[in-house]
Amino acid sequence: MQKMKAFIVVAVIAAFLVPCVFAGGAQEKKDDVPVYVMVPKLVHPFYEPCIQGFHDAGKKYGVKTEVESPPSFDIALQVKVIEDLIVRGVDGIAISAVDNKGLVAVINEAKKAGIKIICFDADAPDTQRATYIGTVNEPAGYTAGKYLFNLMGNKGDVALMQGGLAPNLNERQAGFRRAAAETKVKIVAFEDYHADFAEGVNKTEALLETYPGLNAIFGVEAYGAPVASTVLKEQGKAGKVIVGGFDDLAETITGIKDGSVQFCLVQKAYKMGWLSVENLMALDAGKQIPPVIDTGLIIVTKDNVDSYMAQVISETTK
Amino acid sequence: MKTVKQELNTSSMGAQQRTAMVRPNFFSALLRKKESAIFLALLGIMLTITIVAPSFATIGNIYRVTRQISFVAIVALGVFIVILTGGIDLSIGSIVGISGITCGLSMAAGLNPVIAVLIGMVTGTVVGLINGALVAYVGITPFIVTLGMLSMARGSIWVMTKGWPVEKIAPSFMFIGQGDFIGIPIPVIIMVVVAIVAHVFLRYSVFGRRVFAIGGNEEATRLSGINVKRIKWIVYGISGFLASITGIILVARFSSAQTSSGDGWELDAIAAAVIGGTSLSGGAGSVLGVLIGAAIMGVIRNGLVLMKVSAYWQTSIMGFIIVLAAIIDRIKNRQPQS
Repeated sequence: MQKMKAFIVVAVIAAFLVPCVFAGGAQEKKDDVPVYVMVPKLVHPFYEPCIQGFHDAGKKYGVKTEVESPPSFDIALQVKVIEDLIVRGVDGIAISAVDNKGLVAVINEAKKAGIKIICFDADAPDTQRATYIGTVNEPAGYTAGKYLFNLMGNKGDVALMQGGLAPNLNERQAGFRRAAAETKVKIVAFEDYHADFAEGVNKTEALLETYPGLNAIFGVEAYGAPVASTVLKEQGKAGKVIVGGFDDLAETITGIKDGSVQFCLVQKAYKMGWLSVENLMALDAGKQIPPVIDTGLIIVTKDNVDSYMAQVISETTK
Repeated sequence: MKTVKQELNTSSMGAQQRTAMVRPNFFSALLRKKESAIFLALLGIMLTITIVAPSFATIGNIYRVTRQISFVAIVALGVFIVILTGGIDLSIGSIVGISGITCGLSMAAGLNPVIAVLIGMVTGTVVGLINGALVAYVGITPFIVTLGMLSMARGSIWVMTKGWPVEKIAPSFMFIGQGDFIGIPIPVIIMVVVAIVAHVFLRYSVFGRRVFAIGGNEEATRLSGINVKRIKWIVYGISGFLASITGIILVARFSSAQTSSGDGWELDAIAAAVIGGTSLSGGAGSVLGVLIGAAIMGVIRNGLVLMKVSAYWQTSIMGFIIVLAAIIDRIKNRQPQS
């Protein structure tokens, strides 16, 4: 019986060790093709075009591209993913930072281990990341505000909806407020619905109750516009309140087509993924790259709702 | 000798519980001290909000608030039954999500909405029964089992959808979430039906009384020859089933199955049950209390926006109210003993 137990223990340990040895062997061999890994904040539809651009560029330039998503929005989980990648010894990491300060130690450690590391979509400027590729949020919020206020005739009341108090969203909010200060538009309400669709709908309903004469609703996070469109359509007020927001979730696009959403601002997510590969390669080649690369925004309205995706891809890959 | 004594204890305890629990009708339960206290609290809160923000008391707002409350209330009733047995179900938020997604995907695949709804319900019930089997028959702590299931179910949503919402929802089905009958939103009607069934089931059925008995004294219930394991297994199934109902209604409500649907709702549901006077150690609580608890949470959420309370304050105020309810409950329960 004792022998049996000992045998099982040894067998189990062996079963764990064998793949490790092989993995170690594979790692030491290190083929010529560099391995770049994209680390989003979590699993979210937003990252799909980023991932597509990342893989497409990898295919074009002949590098191996992978994606490692932390299971949820949690700094500890993202740090763990990076730590695992350091152990694996990949060549480059493109990360959408959950947090700035929280990533300083692990990103610097990755850099020390010889891994090229850049931020895309969400920056961590205090770390030693080589560059940030993505939307620069404060000017993006300003652009969004200017466009909306123009539609409003630079006067009236707007409600600002934000899903979570993440730094990138706060920056957009600041830009939006800066633009508002230049007009006669009043931001009468600011609500946070924690990126929960149901909570967003509840709060929008309450806002329309409180401000019956509201002229516009703007969402600085992806759910903002669909949430507003859902409520307005239900109350028969679609088109009477101007709705705009960031990102192009399918519901936002549906809203633009049926007139319940007037416009959305789409970050060039595909371009972020594509440029991530190009810049990791530039770093591998020892080239200098700028510390911030603004990918800009594309404003989507009824006029370009069917063509904007192709527009972004063609301008990126050309 | 010992067994006989224990049996005597058990049967006398059973009789006591029966007299304590079986109410002649629903309305006398309404007047019972505990519920009437939190009901007064609810009225007080509503009055305060109306004074500060008169738009609270409009028909449109009441219509929407009751509908908002119904979603959490149905989930809360499920976890309430689990809590009665002395257990906990942390996976309900994820079950709300996964049932909605399987229902939505079935519809997007072109299945009849009725079949899609059944698929959603089966999903939730099966996930619940898996929880129950692990708790009752394998003997793992409910906290850990359902915590694991929280991630497993949420993770399965991402596997199935890659994070994309499911959009092709049959228009005929949206009535469940968006429609109303004689001015009452359908989700509210569903909530009332669920509540009445749960109330009758818990008060008047043998199974229901055994649920209370397990929470009161699990060992004694087992010794009196009741199949405790089977009951525990089934209550998690019920919890999963009720969570799936909310999941399905939410799909109809938003004309899409959202991947984040129900995320974090386990906390709201448990809080609603506790505010409503449910004891987390099991054996005590009422359906009416849970409904009032859910109403208090929903009314305050709505009121904070109407009263123009800063968005930065709202979450911490909600947390404060939950703690406050627990403190009041503690003080109230201590009085008769001292």
